[in-house]
Formats: sequence, C-alpha cells, structure tokens
Amino acid sequence: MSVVTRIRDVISGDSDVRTVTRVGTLATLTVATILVAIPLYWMVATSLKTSVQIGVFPPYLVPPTPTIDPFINALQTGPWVQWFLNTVVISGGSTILVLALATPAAYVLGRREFPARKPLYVLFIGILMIPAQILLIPMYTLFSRIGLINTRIGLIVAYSAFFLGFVVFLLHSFFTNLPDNVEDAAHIGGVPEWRTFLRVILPMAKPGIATAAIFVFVFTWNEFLFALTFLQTQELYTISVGLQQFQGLRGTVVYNQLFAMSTLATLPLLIGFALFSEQFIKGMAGLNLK
Amino acid sequence: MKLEIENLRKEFGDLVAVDDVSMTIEDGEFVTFVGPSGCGKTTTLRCVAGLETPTSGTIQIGGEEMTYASPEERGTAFVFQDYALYPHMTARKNMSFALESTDMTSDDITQRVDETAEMLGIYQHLDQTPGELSGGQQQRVALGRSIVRDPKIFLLDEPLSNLDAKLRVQMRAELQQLHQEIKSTTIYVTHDQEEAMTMSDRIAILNDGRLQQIAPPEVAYSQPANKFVAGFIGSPSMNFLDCTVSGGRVETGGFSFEAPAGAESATTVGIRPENITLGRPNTDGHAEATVSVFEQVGSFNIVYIDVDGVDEVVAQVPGEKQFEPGAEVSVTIDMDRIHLFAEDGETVHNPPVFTKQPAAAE
Repeated sequence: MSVVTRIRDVISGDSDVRTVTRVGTLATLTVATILVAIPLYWMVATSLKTSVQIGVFPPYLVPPTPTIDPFINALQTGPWVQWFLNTVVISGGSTILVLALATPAAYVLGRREFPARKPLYVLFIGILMIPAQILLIPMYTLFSRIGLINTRIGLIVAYSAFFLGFVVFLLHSFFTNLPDNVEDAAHIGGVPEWRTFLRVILPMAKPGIATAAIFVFVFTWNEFLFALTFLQTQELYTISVGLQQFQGLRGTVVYNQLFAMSTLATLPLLIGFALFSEQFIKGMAGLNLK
Repeated sequence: MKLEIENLRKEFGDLVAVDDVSMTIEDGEFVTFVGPSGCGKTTTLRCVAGLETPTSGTIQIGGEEMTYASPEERGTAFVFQDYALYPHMTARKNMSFALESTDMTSDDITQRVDETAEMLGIYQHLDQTPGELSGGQQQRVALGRSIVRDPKIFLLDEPLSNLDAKLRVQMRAELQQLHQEIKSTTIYVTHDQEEAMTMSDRIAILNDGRLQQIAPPEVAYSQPANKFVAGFIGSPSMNFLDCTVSGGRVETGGFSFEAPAGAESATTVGIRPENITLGRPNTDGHAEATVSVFEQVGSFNIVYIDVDGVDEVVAQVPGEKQFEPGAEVSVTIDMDRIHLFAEDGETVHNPPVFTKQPAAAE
C-alpha cells in the first residue's frame, strides 16, 4: 500500500475515534522511522562529503558536491575486500552451522514425545541466560588449547555455540505451532520420517527459519568483541574489527572515509533485509513466543 | 480388508475417550461412526490408523494383529477434516508424494495420479497449490492422495464438514459412488446423522466413548438400542414422553394405549414426529393440542404442539398441511410405530423394521 492511499485511508476512516487512533499510530511509526533513519542517512551523507565539508558548522544536510573519493581513498588503506570476504564466510558459516544443528533439535523438542524432553528444552533456554562476555576468557583458553584461536572456523564455532540456544527457542515455538495433521498425513502415507522433515516440515517452517537466519547473520556480521579477541592477524579480520583498526591506523579519524566503509559494511544487510523483509515479517508474526 | 476392533480403550490422563469398543467391519463395508462431539469417534478412528496408541484392546486388519503397528504398516489411508494438504506442494505433488517413497516408477506414479485426478474431476487443477483451490477441490485432492495409495482401509474424519451445504450433499453422493467403484473398506466419521444415514452400510453410534449400537441405518432408525440412539438418529428428533404402565395399558398425560408385550418396565414413550398426524379438532382426535410454532420446510413442515397434559411435542406433517400458531388441532399417533424405554434408557419395545422391496430379478 502506498503512503498516499494509506493517508487517504486514514483520512476517510469512518469514525473519528478510529481516525485519531490511526493518525496516532501513523505519527508514532513516522517518528520511530525517522529516529532509525537519521543515523543511517547521516552515515551515507557524510561518506559522500569531502573532508572540508564535514568540518563545516552548521553541517550540510545534503552533500553539496557528492563525491565517492572517501570510498576510493579508504579502500586503499587496508585489505577491505579480504575483511568483507572474511565477514561473509564467518557470518554465513555461523548461520548455516547454527541452522543445521538447531533446526532438527527444535523439531524434535517441539514435535516428538520422549523422556526428558522438557528438561532438555529448559536447558537450551538456560543457555540464553549466560551472557556471552562471561564466556570470553574461558572460551579463549579452551580454543587456544585446541588451536581454534585466530581461525575463521574458531569464530564460527563460537558464534554457533551462542546462537544455538536462541535459535532452538525461536524455532521450537514455530514447529510447535505447525498443524499435526499434515505430518500425520505423511506418516500414514508411509513417507520416511527424514523425508517428511526435509520435504514437508522444513518448507512449512521456512518463514521461521528465514527469521532465525536473519537474526544470526545480522548479529554475527556486526559482532565485535569476540572477533577482536579471537582474530589476531590482520588478514583474518572481520569488517567490524577492520573498521576499528581503521580508526587507529591513521592516528586521526578520517570521518568521511570511516563512514564510507561503514556504509559499505551496512549495505549487504540492508539489501538482504529488503529482499527478505516479507519472509521476516511473516516469520515474526508466525512466532508465538511463550 | 476386514477390520476387527476388540475391547478398545483409550485414555488421555483421567479422560476416557474410548471405552470398551468392539466391532467387526467386513471387507468392502462402508461404516459410519456417528455421535456428538467428544463421543470418541475420531479417537477410535485415529487408533485404527495408528495415530493413537490404545490403552488396551486389540485391532486386527485383515486378520493380522495391528494394535501397536506403525501407521505405514497398516495400509490405511486417512482423510482429515482440514484436508491436511501439503501447502507448498501442487495438487499433483500432494498426490504423488507418498508414492515416491515406494518402489513405483515415476511413469507409473504419473499414470496413477492422472487416472485418479480424472476420476475425481481435478485433472485440470493438478498444477495448482492448495491455496489456489476451493474447499471442494482441496477435498478432492485429499481424497485423491488417499486413493492413489490403494489402501486396504479408508478412514475419513468428518471430510465434508468444512464445505457449504450444497457442496456437501453433492460430495456425499460422489463419495458413495466412489466407494461403489473402489469397494474398499471405509470408515467415515461424522457428527451429522443425516450423512450417516444416507451413506452407510452400517452406522456405529457412539456416546461418551461407548458404542451404543452398530446396525444398518434403517435398523438404527426403527429399532434403536436405547434412548440415546433413538434421540440422536432422526431429524427432527424423537419425542420422549414420561409414561406409566398399569393394567396392561401405557399411560402418558395425554395418551393411553395398550401395552405391548414386555412393556412393564417402560418409563418413557418414544414417538417419531412423522408418526404423529394432526387433524381438525374433535373429529377423530385422541388428544387436543394447540400449535405453538410452525416451521415451513417445504416438502414437509414441522409443527410444535402443546398437548394437554404433556410437554411440547414435535410433529412432522406433509407440505400441504399448514397451521397458524395458536391453531387447535387433534392429534393421532400411529401406535404401531411406538418405542418404549426403561428407566435406564434401554429399549423395551421397538416397532418392526420397514421391509425393502427386493431388486428385480435379472
């Protein structure tokens, strides 16, 4: 629905009370959207300004002479492409690993009767209560003993461990809400259980899985603390560590270049979200978290 | 395939859903389970399908012990009330999905699906997903998904309850036709006694988890085993009037008639609405009554009457008989069609079953 028709709907609402409620809702949402959009806009706008233009007060709302020089200059300061690739591999790898482990687990916990099912589920929920920061040092010690420090796979394993509980929790509620009859129908038809899971249950749980995937991907894409601690050589850095390094590299912070790289770092997430927003919303609506 | 259920019991915690149900369903027979909500009909069906494990009792299919067999071992097909189609698959895929797990070749599968779809009149919809199909079409796909597997026993759980009235009647006829074509043993669950009466070779009436009676429709109608069956089968429902038996006569507030043999323990008289004739007052009347409500149905009409000395009684009269509320009428009852029930609800007297005209000799 376009904004124009939405506004027309609001105006032509059949009772005054409804109109007031609608205008109120719309106003709140507009304010919230602006609050979220301003920093994003500021980041993009600054990345298109020259060094001189960013120092001007009052600041330019729109870059007077937009330039992509900050992008070009910043890209020459470090192995940004490598850092991007690292982030893609680590975020993608974590997402795949978490889903591969959590989906079957959530399915069994949500839809199968077996002894100790409830305690097991509570255990998964319990994992959610441990703050990741507490685990930083023990995990570092453990990972360095088994040679996982300063490797991409090490970070993937660490991220997967954190998100497992959360994704099991998320998907559990999704699987529990799927209708029993569809699975029963396959069962009676003699379809093997694994095939029912792959071909019937998974496609039906797609919105939930997509939602979980987006959560994990976005969090791991932005994650800083573990990436900074676990990755020591520059070639292995993720984009968030790279950005932090970039600040330190130059002695002084070159804001337009920093924001240019931040824009590049944010872009894949924004594009991804735009592509999958419908699935994401469907997934969030389908979740009945209790 | 013959199905034998013996002393079946299913408990869910403290709730007894099915209580000591026993029956034998012959090969090729169409049996309907009917009863009010929560009477245990669907649970019994799910036990037969293997979707529920009985608490006790046995289930045999084709003479083989199947009480604890997995659903796929039983060779049954189940049509669910909500159709339970795979929402992301086309109608064709819905029908072929289970077959792909067998050793059938894909050509054979395609042929089987095509033939079945043709038979059900959904061939042109095979490439659509359930979301793009109407309720009736989805129902046919669900039926098709069962038929393609060539099951030993068809289990249908209220398959028509989500359809509108007109389509329901049409599908009812189609299902009967289908049964005559494929001649599989079929159990059909419904809460609609009219469906049960029209479709089945025999109907099994359940209440509170117990089997009340299993009999051909005409027998369940004319010779109900107890007051529950008498009241459940038939629409409008049978009238029940309190009675006493003394001096060889049955007395109700408004009527009195000679007690049939064995009627001594009767406490309730049952009269079907169509066995009540309404006439002009004071001509041949057995009792006087006043019309309270008149319902126009068309081919017949339903009249609620207040009979002197009795509660409200429902009569079913031919379409041409019309009454204004408040009209005074005489009431005649067909005494040959009277039912009598004892205090515990068991039948003590039933009229004979109407005989059918036999098929013409060929």
